[in-house]
Amino acid sequence: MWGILFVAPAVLGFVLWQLGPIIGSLFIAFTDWRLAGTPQWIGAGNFEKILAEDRLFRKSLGVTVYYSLGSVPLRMLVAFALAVLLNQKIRALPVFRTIFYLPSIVPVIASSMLWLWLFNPDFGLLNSILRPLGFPKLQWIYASDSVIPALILMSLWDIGPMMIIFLAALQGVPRQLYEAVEIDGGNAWHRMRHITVPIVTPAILFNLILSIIVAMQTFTQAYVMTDGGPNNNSLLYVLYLYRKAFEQSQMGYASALAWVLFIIIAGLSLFVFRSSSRWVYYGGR
Amino acid sequence: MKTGARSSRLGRTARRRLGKAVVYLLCALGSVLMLIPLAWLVRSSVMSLGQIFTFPPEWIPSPWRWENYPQALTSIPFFRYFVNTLVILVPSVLGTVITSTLAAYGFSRLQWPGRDIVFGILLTTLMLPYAVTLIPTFLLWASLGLVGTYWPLIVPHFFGGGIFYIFLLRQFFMTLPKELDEAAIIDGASPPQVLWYVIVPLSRPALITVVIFATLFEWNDFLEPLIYINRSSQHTLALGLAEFTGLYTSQWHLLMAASTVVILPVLVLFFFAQRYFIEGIALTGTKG
Amino acid sequence: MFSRLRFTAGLVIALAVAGTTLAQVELTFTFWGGTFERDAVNQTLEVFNSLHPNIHVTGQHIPNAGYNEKISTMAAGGTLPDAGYMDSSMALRWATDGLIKDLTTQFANDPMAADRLENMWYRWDNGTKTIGTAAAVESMILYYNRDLFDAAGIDYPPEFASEAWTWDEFVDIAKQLTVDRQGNNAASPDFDPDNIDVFGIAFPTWWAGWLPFVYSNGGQLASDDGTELLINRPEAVEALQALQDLIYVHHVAPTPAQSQSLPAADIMMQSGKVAMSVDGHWKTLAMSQLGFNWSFGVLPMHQRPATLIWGGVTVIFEGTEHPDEAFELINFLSDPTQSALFTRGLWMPLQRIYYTDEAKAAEWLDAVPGVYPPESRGVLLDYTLNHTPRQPPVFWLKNLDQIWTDAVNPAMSLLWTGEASAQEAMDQAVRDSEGLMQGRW
Repeated sequence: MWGILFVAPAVLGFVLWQLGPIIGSLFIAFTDWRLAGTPQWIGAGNFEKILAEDRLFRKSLGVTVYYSLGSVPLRMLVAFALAVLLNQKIRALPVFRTIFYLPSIVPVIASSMLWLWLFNPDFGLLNSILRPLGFPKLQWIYASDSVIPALILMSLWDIGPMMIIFLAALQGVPRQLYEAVEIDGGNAWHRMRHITVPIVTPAILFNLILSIIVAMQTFTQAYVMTDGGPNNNSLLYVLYLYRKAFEQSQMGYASALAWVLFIIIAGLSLFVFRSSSRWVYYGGR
Repeated sequence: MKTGARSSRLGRTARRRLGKAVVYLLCALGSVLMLIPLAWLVRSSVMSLGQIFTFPPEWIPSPWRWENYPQALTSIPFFRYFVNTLVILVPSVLGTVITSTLAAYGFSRLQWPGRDIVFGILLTTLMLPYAVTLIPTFLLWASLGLVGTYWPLIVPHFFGGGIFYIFLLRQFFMTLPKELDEAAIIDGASPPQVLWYVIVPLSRPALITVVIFATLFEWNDFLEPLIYINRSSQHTLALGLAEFTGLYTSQWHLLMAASTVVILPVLVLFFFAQRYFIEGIALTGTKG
Repeated sequence: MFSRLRFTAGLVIALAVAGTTLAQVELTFTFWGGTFERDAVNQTLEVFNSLHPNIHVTGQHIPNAGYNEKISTMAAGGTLPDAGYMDSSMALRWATDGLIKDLTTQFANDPMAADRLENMWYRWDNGTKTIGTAAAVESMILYYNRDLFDAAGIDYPPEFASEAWTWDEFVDIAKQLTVDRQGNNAASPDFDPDNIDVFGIAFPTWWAGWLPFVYSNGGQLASDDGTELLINRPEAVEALQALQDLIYVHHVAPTPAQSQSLPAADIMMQSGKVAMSVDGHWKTLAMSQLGFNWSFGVLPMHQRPATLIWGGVTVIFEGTEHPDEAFELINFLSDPTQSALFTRGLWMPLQRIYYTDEAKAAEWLDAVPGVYPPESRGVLLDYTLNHTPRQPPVFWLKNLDQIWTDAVNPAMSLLWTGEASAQEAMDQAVRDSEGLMQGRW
């Protein structure tokens, strides 16, 4: 009874502001709607076209999966490592934490400028450092085979929020447990493996689900920096969808694309959630 | 036996020292990587447009163009946008923290039928790309006659504040030992009292995290104000920053100066908020 | 906070009510642009309001980054403004779908309209309907850094199309201007293409950067009936291959960055890292503020001198209740005597007389000292008027947005990254255009 009361505002908010638009977008997905006039019902036409004919749908899905497979595990690992690092008892901790969070504060418009400049093959900072070290002239986001790796590299830069979530979770690790392991003769690895990781598994689950959702919907980098190029090799799914929706005014087709992506993400999330009962440890249970 | 114990303790101190050195080294190295962007941003903000992009890159402005700042701050009505941003941000963050805490509590520590299914349904709202719900949501607010006001930007935050924050808090609440609630309930506390006196005090890092995230999100949010605000006089700082870029020409030096000013308040906020993640527990255990 | 909000909302309503009692007609006008353009347009709107006591226009400046989202959302919600800027391909599509007004009769009754450059009209329905002309004219020209030319002892790029460099002359000059870190230029046998310090030429990779050269070589993007791409034909391929060779064979051009908003060429030219740059006339505004010794000339040519002219369109939306007042407004915004955009180097006038009559030309070219260099008479007047052989496809090719994003741009990127030859890349473009070619608007 109390439980329902507590979640009531959130559920009401969902019903009021989100359920309608979600159902609306599902309806639009079954129509041909070009913003003018009323949507024309065309049944599963959009979905048939997407699955049967649309080569760019396949291309963009492939690009997105490639990007996600690279960025999700790397971001998780680096964010966790940073959180552990910044959970040490060291001097100037607030300064270090703030510095590592900084990239996430920089407005996107300024940070994408920065990365365009870093990645520039002729005038960029990265090549100006690497080339004297004997590296060849790397093309970064300007070559078909390196554009996604470059974007993955870039995605490691604003992991501040993930790091913070891990850091907050690490606060919940009771100190006595470490002392117990120490008394049993365990080393740092044992502490990490048997205490730290199990206790932060709820945060790991959160970050994993969220980073899958975020990675699959990555848009801004491709929109601002690569425009999907070269040769569609960074045509992330949501960029393709965006073009359909806001450049070509094909709202029906765009909605259908969105629902296909939704089903994929929901499936992945459900899979992760199902598996989580085997690896997530909740102190409250 | 005795000597063995001492030598192992000595070895451990040495190892600990070494470990600490490694930690500092990594922090310093990482900091440099993370600071390059900020350094670039700040030095660009006191350069001429021409010097920003010279190659090889220059790090010291010559001359220092401090006039970029007054120029940037008068190119857009900065103070008004700042106030507008706060008018949206303060109630939004407040609403988010309060209602997401309530909901997270209801989804984690209280049992009721269908709980996890309802949670799962709410979670799906993160999975549908904004591009397709944007227009239906707009139509909803338009039918209420509220487009052109701040209401669409504030009111939803008092209804759960977004599943992201609920999910985040839920994950933290679930790590707290169940015995705490049980003991409080045996002492005659009602669930609201348990939440307020037991759960909230123990979840300070998580709640601060929500405040930071929500503040930053509102501070930098571009799309929602763009869609719902019509008059320039109602614009927020994030919209103001975008005014510096034209289709073909952009005043990057002014944009960088304005960005620096916009970053500063959240930077300070973060610096002070992060200390609530209390001092690190340190793998060495107790103090010393 | 909330009472404040309510107060603000109340104030807004009060002001709106007060506004309607003062003026009979309320118009909303949406536009994009940087801070300079924003202020200039707002200023023009103020003048318009003061000259038209019966009309009150509210300018709504929308950042470029979100213009399409905002305008699409407004369209869906039925809350489009009375008039506004629009991307031209999108505007023609929206016109066909009935969201934008046909202005044929308004323009027929406007004596000044006939003098607008013929190539600037956006028409649809086989040329029977029009959304108007572009708001202003833009053309592609060749900017250069005078100091670099002086230092190399080379004559400046020609001012008149009749003296335009041939492609071979141009490549030779670009080579002499391209210098490596040891100081050897690209014509020297000791030249080190891996360590270039100054590039001879930079050009943008979007369509306006390469289409003039395709036209100059007698090629075109698509057939006149809009049913097939001709970009893989020899005339087009030759011109495109010549551009690619500037980067990878002659090593006189930097690898083109993809983003057009990155201040690549003008900034690099100011800092002496690029000697010449192909860019739009609108860059004059930025150039004139950078404070270096620059000017512009005509583009190099293949078979004949050619550039292209076009411009973004200002439309009147179908839902407006005041089409006549809105028409007056968009004409006012395109009037060189009213808008600072023309005299400061962002826009060029639409009327022929501003190109043919010296006194009229001086009204925009000489109004603000230090904006337009002396070469403007040749580069902006003669070149614009007499050497624009074709109307760019933005004016007439149906489904162009999708043709760009799905077929042409991916192929072009292969060209710019050097991953395919012009022929291979353009063959791919033609293959990928299958099903996208839908004729003319």
